[in-house]
Amino acid sequence: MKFPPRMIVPIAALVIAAGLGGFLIADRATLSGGPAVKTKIIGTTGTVAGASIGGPFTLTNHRGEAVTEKDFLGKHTLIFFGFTHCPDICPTTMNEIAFALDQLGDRAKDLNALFVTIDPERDSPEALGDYMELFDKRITGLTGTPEQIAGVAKAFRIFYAKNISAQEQAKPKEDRFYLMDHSSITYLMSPAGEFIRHYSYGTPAKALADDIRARL
Amino acid sequence: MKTVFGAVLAAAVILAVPAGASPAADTTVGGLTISNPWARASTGGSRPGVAYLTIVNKGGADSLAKASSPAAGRVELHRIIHDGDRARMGRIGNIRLPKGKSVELKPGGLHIMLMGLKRRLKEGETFPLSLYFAEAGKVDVTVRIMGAGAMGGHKGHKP
Repeated sequence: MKFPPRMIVPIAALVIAAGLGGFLIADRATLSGGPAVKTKIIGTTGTVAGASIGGPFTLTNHRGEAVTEKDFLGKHTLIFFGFTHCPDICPTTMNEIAFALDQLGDRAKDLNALFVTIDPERDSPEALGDYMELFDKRITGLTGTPEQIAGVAKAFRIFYAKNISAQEQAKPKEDRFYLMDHSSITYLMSPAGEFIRHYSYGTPAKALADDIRARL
Repeated sequence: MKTVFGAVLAAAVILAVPAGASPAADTTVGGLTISNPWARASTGGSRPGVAYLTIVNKGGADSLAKASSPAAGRVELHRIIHDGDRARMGRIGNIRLPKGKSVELKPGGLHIMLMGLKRRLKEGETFPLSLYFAEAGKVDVTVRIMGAGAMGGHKGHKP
């Protein structure tokens, strides 16, 4: 593909602008919260509003009801992806979100908090329900078919992969123990379902609550 | 019969510790001091448990080679690797303890994974954990169980 010479400068400017847009998102997203963990923003679309994160989905909540993205419109939504066999990362995030909801007090009702499993094989609605009971009933657990989970993960640009040892792989399917590697960030979506920002893993409850309160 | 006795003994050891036990005292062996061994309450089913602690090494270089506990069928040393926004968990062969350094096992980094839990780890209870060091040998500690989302310094959110 060849561009006429007079088109090259505008195209180059466009490319650079898109790149800067990506950096802007990264800067905005990592300014507050101050987590020690180094995080790169995923997706540099060049749109500061980040319209490319999020989208339609159909899933099942931990009460066994079918839900779509439309059920969460009208309020800000915190959404993160994990799995209930996760001993380290996910309980930490659940805990910080639960404490952030406490700190928001009455305003917590103006916010949806969603935990989407990336391990639909083990995380049935019942399993998610038990898990929410242990942390905070205000957090909604979402699961689905492997295809539905793949779809929502793609829409939110979430990476996940099964992490299983050769030793476990050799066992009969029902006896296998495995972990999941996954994106550890939490997104804040607008009441219109648009991406606002992400919070890195390890963002403390107070930083979460302060940032969210200022936007509600 | 031996196995049954072992299982009963293990259960008795876990049950014997009163709820709300106070923080365990530091354990010192040679130049190593192990402090604040704690675990998160487990979340049921086949879900694993996790334990953390801090090791200060005032002696020569050593390493934590493995750990075991009557509370779990299998105990492994793990670490989280943060690669951008991705978190990967992997088993590691040992945890190096350089001379004069402090190594903290804590959420988001190094931890001891407890698989095949014999019974649920309940907040307020404790369980025994054996640590095997390359140089210092075997050291037994008592692990305090905190909330399911505890961070060590505080107890974790109450549902």
